[in-house]
Amino acid sequence: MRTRIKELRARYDMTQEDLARKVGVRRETILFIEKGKYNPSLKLAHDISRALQTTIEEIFIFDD
Amino acid sequence: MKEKMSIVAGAGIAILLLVIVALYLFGPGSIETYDVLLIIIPLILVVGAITFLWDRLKNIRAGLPSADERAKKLHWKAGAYAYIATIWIAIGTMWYNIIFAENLGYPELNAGQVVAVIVLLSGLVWFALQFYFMKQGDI
Repeated sequence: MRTRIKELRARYDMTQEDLARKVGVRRETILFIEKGKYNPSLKLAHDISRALQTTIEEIFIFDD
Repeated sequence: MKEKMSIVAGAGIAILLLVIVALYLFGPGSIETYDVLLIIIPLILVVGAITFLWDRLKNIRAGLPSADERAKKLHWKAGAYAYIATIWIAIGTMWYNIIFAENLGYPELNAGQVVAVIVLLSGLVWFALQFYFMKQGDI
């Protein structure tokens, strides 16, 4: 799984800590999601997509 | 509030453990080689606890939660693995008494020592696993 979180964060000039604060998780969790090392719950994926003003499909990309 | 209470409780337990170790170290009794292990392991546990508490405090000060879904999941997983490790440690102490103490002449572990070994080693395994899992993204 790849994510576009880093790219979208940059668009809104948001740091990992800013995003973590918005969605209520630790900064390391955002870091690991960005690296594709942690699969977030559907609720967290939804919260992240709302914080970045986009959809879940736009953020999380699954390579078939 | 709940997070702050857990930090205060954790710090209290760590201080209490340090005081007990200090009393044991500077008490009137003599210390044998085996006792040194029973001092070193709690000290490692205290250092581990302080590291975790520090990490939690750092997050709270930054306005972030001290535990989120990933942290909770990994803590529970570390606990489950540590539980299995505890069973094997208990079996290990039994084997030690049968193989090493009875047949090879090593000192036998009494009930108190077995309990101490199980509690301290399982705590150590739990801390080590938590630390390792938190460094990994997911497991």
